[in-house]
Amino acid sequence: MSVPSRVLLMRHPNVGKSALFNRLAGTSITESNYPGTTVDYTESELVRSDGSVPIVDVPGTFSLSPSDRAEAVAVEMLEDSPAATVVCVLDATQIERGLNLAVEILERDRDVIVALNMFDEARREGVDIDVDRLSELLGVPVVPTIAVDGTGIDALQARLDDARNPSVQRILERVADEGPDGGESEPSIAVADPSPPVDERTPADGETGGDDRTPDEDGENALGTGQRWNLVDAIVARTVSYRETDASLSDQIGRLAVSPRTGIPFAVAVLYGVWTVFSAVAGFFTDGYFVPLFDDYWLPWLQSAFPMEGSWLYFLVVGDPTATNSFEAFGVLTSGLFVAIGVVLPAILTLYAILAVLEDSGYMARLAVLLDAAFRRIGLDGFAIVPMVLSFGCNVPGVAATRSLETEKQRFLTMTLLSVFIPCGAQLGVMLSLIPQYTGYILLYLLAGFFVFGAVLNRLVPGSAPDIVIDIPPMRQPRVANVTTKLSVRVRGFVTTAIPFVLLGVAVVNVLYLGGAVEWLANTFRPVLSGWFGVPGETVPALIAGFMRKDLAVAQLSAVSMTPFQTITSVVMVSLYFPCVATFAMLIKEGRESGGVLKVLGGALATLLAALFVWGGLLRLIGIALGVA
Amino acid sequence: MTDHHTSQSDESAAGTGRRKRKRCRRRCGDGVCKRLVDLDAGETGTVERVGRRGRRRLRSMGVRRGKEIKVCSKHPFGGPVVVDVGQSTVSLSRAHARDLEVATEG
Amino acid sequence: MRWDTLPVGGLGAITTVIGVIVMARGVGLGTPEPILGVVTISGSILLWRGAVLTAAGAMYLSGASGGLTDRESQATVVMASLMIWVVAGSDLLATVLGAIPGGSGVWIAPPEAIVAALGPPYTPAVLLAVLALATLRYTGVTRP
Repeated sequence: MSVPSRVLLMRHPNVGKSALFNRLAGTSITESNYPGTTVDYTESELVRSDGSVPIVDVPGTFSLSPSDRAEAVAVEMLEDSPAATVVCVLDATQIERGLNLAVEILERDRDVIVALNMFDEARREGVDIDVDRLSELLGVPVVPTIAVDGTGIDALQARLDDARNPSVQRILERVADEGPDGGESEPSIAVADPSPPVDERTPADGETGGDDRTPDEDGENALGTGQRWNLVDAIVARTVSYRETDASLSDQIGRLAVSPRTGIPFAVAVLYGVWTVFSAVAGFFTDGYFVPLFDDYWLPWLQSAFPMEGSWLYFLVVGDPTATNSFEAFGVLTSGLFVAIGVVLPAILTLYAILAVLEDSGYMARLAVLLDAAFRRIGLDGFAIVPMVLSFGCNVPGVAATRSLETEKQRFLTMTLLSVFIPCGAQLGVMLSLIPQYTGYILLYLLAGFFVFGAVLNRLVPGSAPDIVIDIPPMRQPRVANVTTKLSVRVRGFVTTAIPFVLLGVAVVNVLYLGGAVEWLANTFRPVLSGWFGVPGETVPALIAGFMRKDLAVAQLSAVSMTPFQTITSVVMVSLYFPCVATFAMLIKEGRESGGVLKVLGGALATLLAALFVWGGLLRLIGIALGVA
Repeated sequence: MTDHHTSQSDESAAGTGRRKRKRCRRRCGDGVCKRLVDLDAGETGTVERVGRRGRRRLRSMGVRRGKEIKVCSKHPFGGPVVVDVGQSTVSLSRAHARDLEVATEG
Repeated sequence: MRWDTLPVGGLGAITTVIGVIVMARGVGLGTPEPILGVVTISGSILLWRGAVLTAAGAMYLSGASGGLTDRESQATVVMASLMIWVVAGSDLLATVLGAIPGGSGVWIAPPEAIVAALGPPYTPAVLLAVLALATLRYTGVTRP
């Protein structure tokens, strides 16, 4: 009997399983960054009759011999709290590999209670589990749960104090004593033997390597990987029976969604939906409500209410006293606040919601598989689609999302490429209204640039892309409660960490303006820009504005009289040009964890210049070749 | 070598199991033993050997010797290979698929 | 051959043709407008929309030629419908959300204005989405 001081929820990395955490957790769910890493985990308070204990949703892991950063954090968190009670959340539909993790945790001498989640689904899929027998064999409580509708959660809560720490040796003995279930074939006789089975030690086999065992795993309780699987097979043979069932329609669709022939058209449709829903919802908030709110009420009020018009402080905070819209005022509390709350917030709210739905439905993993081959060419993997999709909404959350990528190199590459080549939603919106007939081609040109420069950077930056194994979850209906919890946690995290950076960025730009640095830059580069790209010198102020907000820059370009081709060139240039100040601030923030700020900024700037001159110059050459420039 | 790891194809071939396994190792490939990457979509086999590359991850996900494996789809341009193993569906990179041996019926 | 291969095949043919027309419009070729008074091919990123519709049409055809007796061809057909619903649904959502703010000085447009925004002409995907509802029959229990 033990009253837990801390509860760790351990599970496979998979969608929907944090539903159980949301059920157990109180209202104050917070997302934190594990110190020294880019891995995030969620934490809350578990309210019990006799007070509350901290409960942690440990990053998902398949085993305790970590093979990526998130898994390493999971193991470290387990090691750091030896007194914690571990709730081992198993997916009942995939009980074998779940038990593999459970046994591995038991080897580490922790108080364990097993939650057999998705119990209903397992039964539907023909997986029948004898819960009592499983509990008897393991020597720990086993509670069937259905997290999505709350079944079994109370029972799990009530039995937390019964969590046990049985020795694996005892489990082996119990399994051997009990003998196999019915007439099923015995998967292993070796589990009864306390000494390692002979075949697992056969050197020629090559199956058991030292790489499977970490030094601290070598306690008396530890098993080799092969032994552990033998034990799992034996337990499964005694407690689980499989009935044959037809593949359901959603299984079939899930399969088709990850086959190239049907999956790629489907992905094109899904991405169309993502894009349309995003622009509709974000436009609804930004253009429908925030623009009038800021332009008609906030800006005039602040302009008249803020004292000391004409002082540097007024310029910093409010900006231009005669500005009639919040784009052009350029103050921290006018443009800065407007960009942060009126533009970036709706954009990320919408995209995070869409992504949460895609993740919870199990589609994200399929999309990652479909795109893996393309991204592999540029040193990334399929999951790079997440920051990329976010970037089409707003580069800021795009850069923030790179932290989920595995290596420093991947984070650096993705950050750089998307801040240079991916035009944000606001910018695309203006492009679509100004030059609808060319927007598609501009987009294709930029995407081509993304991949060409990605391939080049991949050669230049040392390091290799790790081969990834992607677990493909079954397609499931996303649950509203789960999506909203995920959304609120992510948005809260974003608001508290990123928005101060955006405001700070605006302040820095204003200081640069005050010091005349921006004007100096504009005058210096004017001949270069117009000479190399063949665009009129009047476009330079628009490029400067691009540092604040790129859509505004595109809008300003429309006022300059140019040939259609010059318009296209200058729009492409604005896209390639400096990331907007919010993105820039985010690059500084995230760069600290991806090889250092200087490396990221230097790399991004070098890429930017190369992209601007090479890709912009190439466009002019194309224009000359076509006879339109 | 004890028998409890014998793959299903070996069981069906009873006495010839040991010989088959040997050929497997040498990859002489008379159609009995193949690399996963050489299987076409829809084909099934039994996992014989999980290569060193990514083995730890693959095994913890249930891709291990003796398990039946079915190729769901193979993605073009060196893309991943999607397989069904047990109750799970897993996507392996080509490099992993080249390093994984399966025993097939034919 | 099951009787339902014919209507599904027909749906596939119509969808493919419409998809090709939308794509043609997307690359700047002229097409009649509006068609039959209720269908309009307008808006942005037509090439993208057309490509989705064409692909959905092809998937209907492939499902129908698969005989519709096995799960896989049925799933292919349902998936094609899903693609059409995604396009139609997101287009309708954009229309509704675009109508709600109601312009200058008005915070929420009157309900009549919102309903009016939902009137014809419709995009081809919306009409196809209605036809595609027929494929919901494959989401039930398997038929032998």
